[in-house]
Amino acid sequence: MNSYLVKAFCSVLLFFLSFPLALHFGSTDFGLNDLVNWFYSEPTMDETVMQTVLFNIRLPRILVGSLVGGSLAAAGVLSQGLFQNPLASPSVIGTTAGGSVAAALMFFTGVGGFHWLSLPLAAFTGCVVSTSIILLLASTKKMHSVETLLLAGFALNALFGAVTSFVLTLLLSDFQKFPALMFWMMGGLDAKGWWHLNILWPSVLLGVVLAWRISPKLDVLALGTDVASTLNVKVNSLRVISIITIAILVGAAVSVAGAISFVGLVVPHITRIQFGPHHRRLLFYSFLNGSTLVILSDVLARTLWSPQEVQVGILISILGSVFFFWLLFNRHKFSGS
Amino acid sequence: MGIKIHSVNHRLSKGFSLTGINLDIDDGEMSVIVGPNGAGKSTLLKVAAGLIKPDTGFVEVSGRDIREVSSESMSKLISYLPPSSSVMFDYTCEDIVTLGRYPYHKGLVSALDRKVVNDSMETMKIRHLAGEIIDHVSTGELKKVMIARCLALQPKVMILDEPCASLDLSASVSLMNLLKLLCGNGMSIVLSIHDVHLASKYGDKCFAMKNGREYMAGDASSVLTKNNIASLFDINEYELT
Repeated sequence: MNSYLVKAFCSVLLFFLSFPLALHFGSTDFGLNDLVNWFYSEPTMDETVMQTVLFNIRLPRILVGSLVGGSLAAAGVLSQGLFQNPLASPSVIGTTAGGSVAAALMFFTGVGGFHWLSLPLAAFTGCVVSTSIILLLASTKKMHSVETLLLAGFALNALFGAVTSFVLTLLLSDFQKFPALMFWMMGGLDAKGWWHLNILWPSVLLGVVLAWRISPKLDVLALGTDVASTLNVKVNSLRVISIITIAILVGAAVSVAGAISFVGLVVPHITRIQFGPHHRRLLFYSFLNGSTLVILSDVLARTLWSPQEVQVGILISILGSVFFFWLLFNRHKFSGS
Repeated sequence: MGIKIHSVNHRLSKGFSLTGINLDIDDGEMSVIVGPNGAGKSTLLKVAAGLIKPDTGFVEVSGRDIREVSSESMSKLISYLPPSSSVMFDYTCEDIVTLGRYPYHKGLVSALDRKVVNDSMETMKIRHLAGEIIDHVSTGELKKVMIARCLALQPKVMILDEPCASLDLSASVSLMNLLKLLCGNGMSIVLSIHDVHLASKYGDKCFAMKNGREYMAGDASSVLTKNNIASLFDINEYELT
């Protein structure tokens, strides 16, 4: 139990440390003393510059990053629990790709700029459709079969990837839409303002509340669908609610920050090693760890080649692939922990 | 009391059907279901557990027609063990047993729940496995954990689909002894089994089935004779030793 407290403390501490760190670093470095002085209203820098950078650029960006990371990780927890499979993350099973296709079509048709809700709604719909397809495919065969799931996800990702590429080629000569869609697809947190946060927080809140409610049922699902049914868990409605919740969480993240993959795979994995498989606990700490991962990766993305920014999605994909290699070579240790 | 199955007919999509099944098990009785592969044992057990709603006929548990019992109370009356259980994530044995009591705690485990879980593990003699990861215990231990999971529900009836499958003789005997003890405490147990020796040694009643129909039913000792077994499984009597 003691080791649990230490792990919990580390996760929470890292989470809270990531905010001031991310506020501090960037292409304009503020010394922490600047911040402190500013707080006690003894400005050592041009106050308006500082205020603009901190409150209109960095703070919303950090908050958006935190919610995006948290909701992607939470969606990962749900999809892994729903499929009873530690590889079933939203990007592996095609949920993210489904959201991307829908969003790409929004860019293409220009409907995306029509109303601020159209992009998130489209992304949500895309996520629902793709996750439902994969669930249908997976339940016609054996639910537990890793191969079925991965193959179905592979097929879906290929299909959606092709459609997205097709949309990209159609937009190739459009100098406004093409770069916008391209950057969006790489996944990034650049130029995120307060209004992005306003799209994000209600869906994330709703998604997390739903996820919290169904979490104990996902634990029961570990006993198999038949046993879960005899224990008064309505398996079919649980599946439907899970898919909707995953779609809400991924749809929100994707519509704001683009296709950031790997968070939903890596974070629940690591968190499960830390805190065990119970879904409520897993959900809570995965949210924290996901936030921390995205915020800190974004700090790296902003500072490594400063003043040139790297898309945070690219950086996280690199980290994700390193993690996969680690998993490949440490599987025996991994399953023993 | 116990569990009764009243003239159940049920057709599965594959063309297989259960026909005219009647079964009556009293409190504290163990009923063993035997028959060749594909006889319909698993389907029958699923009907008994309420997982399959039969086309006609009904199941009665403790004198109540399960069609008229809410799904919540139903979930506390019967526990069901599927033929194989693989758990994907690293839950401990104690976690698994606790999950078996889900209809009571719904995720918020009380002191009473912990006590019942503890007692169930004690009964199955697996208290020492509490902190072990479920995936790391032996097949025999896994079955005991899963039956402790059934017990944690404090059910009236336990329905076990091949609890002895893939267990060696000593693990099977140790499991059947524990099940027999449970019957001594008033639990009704229905289980399917392939080992006819174990079936005749431990079963109070035996239900032999073939092609979805009752082949023969009655006291285990009178049903499981050499002749009956030979004709039930279509084997020559002289091949039985």
